[in-house]
Amino acid sequence: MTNTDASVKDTRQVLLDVKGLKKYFPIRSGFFQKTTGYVKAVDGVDLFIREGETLGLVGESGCGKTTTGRAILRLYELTDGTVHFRSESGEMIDLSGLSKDEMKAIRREMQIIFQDPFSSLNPRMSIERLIAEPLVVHEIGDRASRHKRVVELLEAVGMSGQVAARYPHEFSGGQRQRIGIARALALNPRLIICDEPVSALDVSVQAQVLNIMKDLQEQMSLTYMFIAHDLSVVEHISDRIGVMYLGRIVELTHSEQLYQNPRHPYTEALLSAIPYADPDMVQEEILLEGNVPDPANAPPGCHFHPRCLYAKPICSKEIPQLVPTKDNPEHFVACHRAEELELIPVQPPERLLKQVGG
Amino acid sequence: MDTSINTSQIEVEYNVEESAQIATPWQLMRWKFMNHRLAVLGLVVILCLYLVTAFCEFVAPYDPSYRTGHPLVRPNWPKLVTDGGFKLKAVTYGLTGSRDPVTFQRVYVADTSKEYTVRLFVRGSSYQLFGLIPSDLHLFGSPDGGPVYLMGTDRLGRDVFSRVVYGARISLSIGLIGVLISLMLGILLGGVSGYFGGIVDTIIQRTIEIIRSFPTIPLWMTLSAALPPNWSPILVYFGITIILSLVGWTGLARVVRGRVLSLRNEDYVMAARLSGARELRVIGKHLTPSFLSHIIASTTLAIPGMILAETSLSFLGIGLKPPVVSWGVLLQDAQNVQAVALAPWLMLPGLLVVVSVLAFNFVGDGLRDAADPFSTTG
Repeated sequence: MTNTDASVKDTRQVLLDVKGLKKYFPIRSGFFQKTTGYVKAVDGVDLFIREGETLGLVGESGCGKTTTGRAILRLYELTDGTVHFRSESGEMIDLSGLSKDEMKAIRREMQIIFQDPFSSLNPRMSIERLIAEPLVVHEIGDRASRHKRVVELLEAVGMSGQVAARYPHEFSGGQRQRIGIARALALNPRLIICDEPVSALDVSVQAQVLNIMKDLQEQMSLTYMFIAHDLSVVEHISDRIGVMYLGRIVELTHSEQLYQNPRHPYTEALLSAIPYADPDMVQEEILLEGNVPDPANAPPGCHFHPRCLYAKPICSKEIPQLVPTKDNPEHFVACHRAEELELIPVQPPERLLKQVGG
Repeated sequence: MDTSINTSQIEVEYNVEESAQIATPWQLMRWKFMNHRLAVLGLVVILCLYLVTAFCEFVAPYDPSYRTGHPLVRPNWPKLVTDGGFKLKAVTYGLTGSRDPVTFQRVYVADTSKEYTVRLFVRGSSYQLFGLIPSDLHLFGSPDGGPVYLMGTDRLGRDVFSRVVYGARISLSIGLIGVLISLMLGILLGGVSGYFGGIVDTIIQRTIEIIRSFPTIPLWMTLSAALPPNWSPILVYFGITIILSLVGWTGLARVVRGRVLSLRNEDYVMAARLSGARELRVIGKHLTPSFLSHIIASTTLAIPGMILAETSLSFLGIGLKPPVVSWGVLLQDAQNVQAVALAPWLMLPGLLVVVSVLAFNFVGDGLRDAADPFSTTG
C-alpha cells in the first residue's frame, strides 16, 4: 500500500480536511471556578486524509494526539479551526457548524476505536447488544436483521458469531479490541479514528489486530486515522505519517520519506530512539534534554526550540508554519531550518527486519 | 514480517469454550449473595417481618387498644398438657390478680380451675384485612377468651405482643417509605451533581455538607416541633417520614454522584454518544445499570438508620404519639427504672428493633459484597 514514489502526486480525493484545529481546556481554580488559564492541548493542527489511505499520527504522550482525534469527531467542542468531511454526495461539509441532529447523521460515517479495550465495552451489556447499539440508535433494521449483521461483523473480525450472547469480561484484550472494531464497523463508516488501538495489547496480539484492520480496510474501503506512540506500529500500517509535538504537527509526509529523509529535528530524535532487534547494530541515539513543556505554558515561537539541538534565535520568536519542502510538495515540515539541516535518516523498522531475516 | 493470521485457528479456540454455560451478571450476584449465610438469614427474617406487617390483624390475637383487664402480666405462654389420654393440647389458665402485702406489687396467680384451650386459627374480634376483606380469623388465640399474652401486658392491660405486631407496620414501613423518598432525592440531586458538574455540583455538594454537619437529633426535634399539633396521626406519620428523608438523602446522593462521576468519562459512554445515543439513553442504558446494584445495596443499608431514627424520635416523645402504635411509642413505656425493674417485658419491642436493624444490615452487607465484581468473599 505504501506509495514508494513519493514525488508522484496522489490523485485520491481528500476525505477529511482539518485546518487550524485548536482545542483549549480551561484551567479552573478557586471557589468560584474562575478560569485562570488554558491547557492548549491542540494548538493549530492542519492535516488532511485521502479516501482509502491511513494517516498515522505519532507523538509523545500528552502531545494532543487523542484530543485531535476526538475533536475531529466533535466529542469535544472546538476552540477554533475547521473540520471538513466529504459526504457521500461529494460535497465538503464543515462539521464545526453542524447541529446535534445533523451531527448524529454524519457520525454514521465516522467512528472510533478506543485505546483501552477494557473500558470501551460496557461490562453490563452482551456482545450482541454492544455491537447492535449503533443500529438500534439509528433505527436500522429489525431484530432478526440486526442479529444477522452482528454475526456478520463478528466473523469479519475473525470471531465466531456464537459469542454474541456473551459478556465482555469473558474475553481477552485482543478479543475485546476486535469486538470494539466490530462495533465501529456496524454503521458502515468511511472514516475510523483509531486511538492507539493496539498499545494496550500484547505484542503477539498487536500484529493480529493490525492485520485484521488492514484486511478490513481493503474489503470495506475504509480510511483510517491511526493514532499511536509506537513508530514501528505506525510504519506497519500507515501510508503517511504526521509527527506531533505539543499540540502541533511538526512534520507530515509519506512513511518512507519520514524515515529516509526526516526534515524536522524532533522527528530525527524520535527515529533514533526506535529500538532494533539487532545486537551488532551501532546506533547513534540522539538524547533530548529536558521534558515536554507544560501545554498550559508553552514556550514561544517553535514549541520544540528549548530542546532542539539546532535552535537559532529565530526559533524562539516566530512560530514556524507547516509548509511543503522545496523538492517534495507532499512533505510538510514546520521548521525554520528545514531546508538547511542535514538530518540522520534511519531504515524503516519493517524493512530492517526483512534484511536481518526476522 | 508477514503475520497474516489464519482465521480457522481462531474459530477452534472458541469451539472449546462454547459448550460452557455463561452466567449473567445478575446470576453471579445472586450466587454470591446466596453464599453469604448471614445475609440470607437476614433476608429470611426481613421477609417474615414484612409478612407479619402485611397480615398483622390476622397475626395479632388482640386489637392493639383492647384492654384485657389484666395490667402488667408477665409473658403468659400457653402450656401443653395431656388430655387424660395421649392427645396433647395447649391450654392457658385464668388469672387472679392481687397485691403483694410487702412490696405492693401486682402479682398474678394461675387459677387452674379455669382452663381455656388455645388453638391455631380461631375466630375472635372482627377486622377488615387490607381495609377491604371483613374477617374474624386469627392465627392463634383462645376461642373462649382465655389470656394469651406472649409478651405480657402493659400498664393499661393491653397485649404487648399484639401492639408490637401492629407497631411493626408503622416502624418498618416508615423505613421503606423514608428511604424511597431519600432515594428519589438522592438519585435526582446526586445524578445532576455528577453529570453536569461545575457550579451545580459545587452548590449541591456544599448543601449536603451543611446538612450533614447538623447534629441530627436537635434538627429532627426542631423539624418535628414545627409539625402542627392538630395534625391527624396519619399526617404526622408522613410528616415524620419526610423529615427523616430530608436528612437521609445526602448519603445516597453522594453514592450516586460518585458513581456517575466515575462512569461519565468511561470510553463506553463516549462510544455510546458517538453512535448517536441521546443523553437519556446514555443515562438509562449505560450509567444506571452499572450502579444499580450499588444503589440497591446502599439503600438497604440506609433503611435501619430510618427505623432507628423513628424509634428514637418516638422514644423521646417528639415523633409519633399514642394512640399510634410504633416500636418507639411502645418503648416510651419502658422509659423509667420502675418499668425496667418490675416489668422488663415492656422492653421487648427494643429487641425487635435490634433484630430488624441487624437483619437489614446483614442483607445490605451481603448485597454490597455481591454487587462488587472485585470482591473475593463468598
